[in-house]
Amino acid sequence: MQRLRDKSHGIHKIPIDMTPMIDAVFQLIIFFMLTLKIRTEEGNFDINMPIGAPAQASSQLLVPDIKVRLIANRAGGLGRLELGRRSLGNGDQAYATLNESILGIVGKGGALNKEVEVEIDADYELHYQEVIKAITACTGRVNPATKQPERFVEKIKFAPPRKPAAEP
Amino acid sequence: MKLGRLATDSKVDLDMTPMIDIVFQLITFFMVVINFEAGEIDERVKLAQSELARPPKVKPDNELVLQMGFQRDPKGQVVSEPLLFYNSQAIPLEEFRPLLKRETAFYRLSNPTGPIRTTVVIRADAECPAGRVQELIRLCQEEKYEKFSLRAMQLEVQ
Repeated sequence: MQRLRDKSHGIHKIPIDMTPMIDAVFQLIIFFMLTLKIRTEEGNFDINMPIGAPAQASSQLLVPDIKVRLIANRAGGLGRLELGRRSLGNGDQAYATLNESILGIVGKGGALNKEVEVEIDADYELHYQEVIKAITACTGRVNPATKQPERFVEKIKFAPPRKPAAEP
Repeated sequence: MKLGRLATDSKVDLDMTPMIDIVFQLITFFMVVINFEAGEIDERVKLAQSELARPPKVKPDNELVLQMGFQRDPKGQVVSEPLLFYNSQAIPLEEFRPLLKRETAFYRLSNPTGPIRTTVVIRADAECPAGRVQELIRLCQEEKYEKFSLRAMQLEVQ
């Protein structure tokens, strides 16, 4: 606040009116409040899928692919989950069993982690959520102590989709 | 009882400086938190959830975000087949190939040779048929895209 020296009356303060500044600042706040979107963080599963790429034979460990079959029920949910030829049932317990089984096959931090490939063969009408659950169960788990994800399978691929025959 | 004379014409000056400080704090908070990239996210796509889904530590240089979902009525019921939400339009998968070719041609303007390094980010509704998502992946593979990211919502582990 500037002061003017007035010889007859002494020093005067020049009041600066801050009201318009507050108005402008409130306008800014309203803009940001309206444009702000609070949403849950999203994450990725990365897949490398070159079309027509031959199977890489670089590994000295000849590891067969792990085949996971997802069979849909009429509603599009999971009817049955199969690991190889073994049926694991359905529901969240099936995915937990799948997770344990794959961990048992590849081991944690072993040499197989980078080599083994999981092939997911899902029915055409199966809900995408079930495929994501299967990928989650196949690729790793969250460490309960550190709350960080631990991946034990890095390669995922999909079997070619089989479109159901049109109903007559 | 004698009452003192009330002062008249006295103004109470309010010091607005602390209020401006608070307001600037709020503005700074909103400026830091706001994410204008939310324009790429279509609210009609209800993502699947996964406890392993984590935001990428390094964002890819080139991304092509493809969003597959449904038209829903005000009650949230699905009223359409799976559609691709692209450029503010809802497009059936069968009609998407020319648009994908256009994206590829645009990429080739700056990278005429070599493999396509664009990462295709697929945001698919949780209720989409898995076969449709696979057909979309197949369509992109035929246009020589090799890198894919399946987007899921992060599920907090209890």
